[in-house]
Formats: sequence, structure tokens, C-alpha cells
Amino acid sequence: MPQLEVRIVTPRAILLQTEAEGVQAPGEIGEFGVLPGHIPFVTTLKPGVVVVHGAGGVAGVTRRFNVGVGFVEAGPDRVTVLVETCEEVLGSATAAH
Amino acid sequence: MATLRDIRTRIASVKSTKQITNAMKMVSAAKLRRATEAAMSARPWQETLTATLQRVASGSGEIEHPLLESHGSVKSVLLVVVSTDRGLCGGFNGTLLRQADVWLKAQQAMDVSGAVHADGKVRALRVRTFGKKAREFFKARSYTVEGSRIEITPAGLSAEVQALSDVLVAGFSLPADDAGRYDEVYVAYNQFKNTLTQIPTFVRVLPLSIDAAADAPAGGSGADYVYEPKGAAILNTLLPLYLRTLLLQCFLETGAGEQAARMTAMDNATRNASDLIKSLTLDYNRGRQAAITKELIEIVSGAEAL
Repeated sequence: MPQLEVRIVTPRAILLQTEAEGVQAPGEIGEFGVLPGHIPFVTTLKPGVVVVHGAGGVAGVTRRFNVGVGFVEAGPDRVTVLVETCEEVLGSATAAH
Repeated sequence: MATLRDIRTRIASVKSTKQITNAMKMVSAAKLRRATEAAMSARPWQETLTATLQRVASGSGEIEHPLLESHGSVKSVLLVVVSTDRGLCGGFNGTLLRQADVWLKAQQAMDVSGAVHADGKVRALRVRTFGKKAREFFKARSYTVEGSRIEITPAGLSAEVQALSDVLVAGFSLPADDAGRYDEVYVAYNQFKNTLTQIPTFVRVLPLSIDAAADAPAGGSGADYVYEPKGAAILNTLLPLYLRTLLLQCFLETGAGEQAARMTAMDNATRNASDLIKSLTLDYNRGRQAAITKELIEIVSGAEAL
């Protein structure tokens, strides 16, 4: 299965850099999902939760991040989330059974 | 002439000074590493943000946004001066503040279009300071200081930058006849070139300027991007982010530069102290030897007299 290259970047550090199957994010004009092969687009984010599916290239592993204001740049094979504040939701990494 | 006892006291005092400067140098070196790391870790964020803005700029042709637009005639200018709270860092603050003074005087001599005016005093100048050194400097001078912030901790930096950018944007967006309006905003800070060189820099932050990327942005096919929301609406989010990034950069570079300047200054002080100790020790030994010789002569001549 094709993978997305996901990065979550804040002014203080690169918080996440990994392969993933898909990303869900709280866009300013609506929650949206990105899968590999998505058309290139840029959108702004409102504070909410970014969900990374299949993080680290492992199917079923989901990681969640609380994010502040920022934006997303998505391409066919990569997603860059730029936010001013971001924190991983504790205990959010869930493996499939 | 200094007695042996005087020299001995002097040596002891220089030695303890040297210990202090040496310790300060070590502390600065450690803090410098942390400060440069902070400045470095902001870089990926900055680069991606700038690249995206440039892509927006080059993709949609003409971009328009209040924050990008020049006010035409410049009637009031705000200078944000970023200095440090503590001294003992060589000419780090002094150079910057002196240049800020010169810069403000030059602004004072300009009329609304930037041409040098005979009488001057056409532009309203205002100053905002960060750090105790800038506050003290402007207290003694006749500029209008709007606000002073001191003792900014690394943890409180984001909030400080956020507050500053809100003030700037609000002031810049006021109607033309409002007295509190800024037509242009500049930041004076020390650019961190490397450990030995920090360059006092004046940079205009409002109106913002974004150069459309001359070269094709990394990843190619920049124009194919779909923007949601479109045009000015996306700039509403991106431009304040960009402004905050610019401001944050100024603070981070000042932080790194301060430690670097202090490290260099304290290194020099330590070296000077070592030199001083060496020459004082030489004096002391010479004096001691002279005393011994004198005593011997006295004993010998005393014996001869018998």
C-alpha cells in the first residue's frame, strides 16, 4: 500500500516525521482526510486533533495530536502539518488487535 | 611604591575575579548551546512557512492583503528594540542601542515620503523596548516609549511574541487618522551570524514583504496547489503566523547572540586576568628577592664592621 510521508512541525521542533497510511485534520472549513494520491493542496487549521493512521508504516497504529492554529500542506505522497502548538494525546497510540 | 603585602592582596583579588569570569564563560558556553539549538529548531518551521507563502504569492499572481500593503505616506514609525536584561556581554547592547539612536535621528529628519526634510519632526516616532538595557537607554532620551518588557524567559517567549504581534497588527490596521496608527514597524536586534560576530540589524516587519519565489519551489509544480480557503482568507491565517515567525526569530537570535557575546567577553576578561596575575607575580618575586638581597647586604656589612 502506498504510504504518505507525514511531518508535524512546530516552531520549537519537528514533532513527528514518519510514514503513514492517512491523516485526518481539523481544517478551518471542515474536518478532512488525506490519503496517498491526494491532489496537492494547502489549507488552514483550527485548533483540534490531528489523527495519523498507520503511523510508522504499521497498519492499525493510530496517533493523535492536539494542535493549535496552523496550516497543512498536502501533496500526493506527503503531508506537512505546521502548527504553533502541538502535543501528542497521551496514550493515544493504539495498535490493532 | 607598593609593598609586598599590597601586591599579594592585589594578586588574590585578581585571581578571584578571574575565577568569576571563567565561571561566567563556562555558563555562557552551556547556555549558548541551548540557545543556538532553539534557534536551529525553529528553522524547519520557518523554511516551510516561507516556502508556502512564496508559493501562494507566485501561484495566485497578484496577492493583496492589508498587512502587505504600504500606507503610502509614512507619518508614524514604530521601532521595536530587542536587547538583553543583563550586561557583561561586551558591546552587544551598546552597539545596537547607539545605532538605534542614530537610526531614529535619521527617521526624524525624513518627511512622509522618506526624503530628507529641512525641519524634520514630520514623522511621529515611537519605540517599544525589550530587555532592561534598552529600557535604561531610552529612559534617558527624549523618545516616546510605548512599552517596555523585561525579564522574558524562554518559556514565556511564545506568549510574548504573540502579544507583540497582536499589538503590531492592531496598530497597523487602525484607520489613517488615528493617532495610534503605525505606518511602518521596524525591529532592531542583533543578528546572530556566528559566535564571534553579531550584527546590529534593522528589519521592517510591517508592512510585510514576501518575494515571490524566483526559483521553482522544492517539490515543483507550485502552481497546481489548491488553496482552501481561497486568496485573502488563507493569508489571514498565514500572514500573522509569518509575522510571529519573524519576531520569534529576532528574539531567538538575540538570545543566542547574548550568550555568544558574553562568552567572548568573559574569555577576554579571563585572559586579561591571567596576564595581570603573571606580571603581578613577577613584581612580587622581584620585590621579595630585592628584600632578601638587602637583608643579606645588611648582615654582611654588619659582620664586616665588627
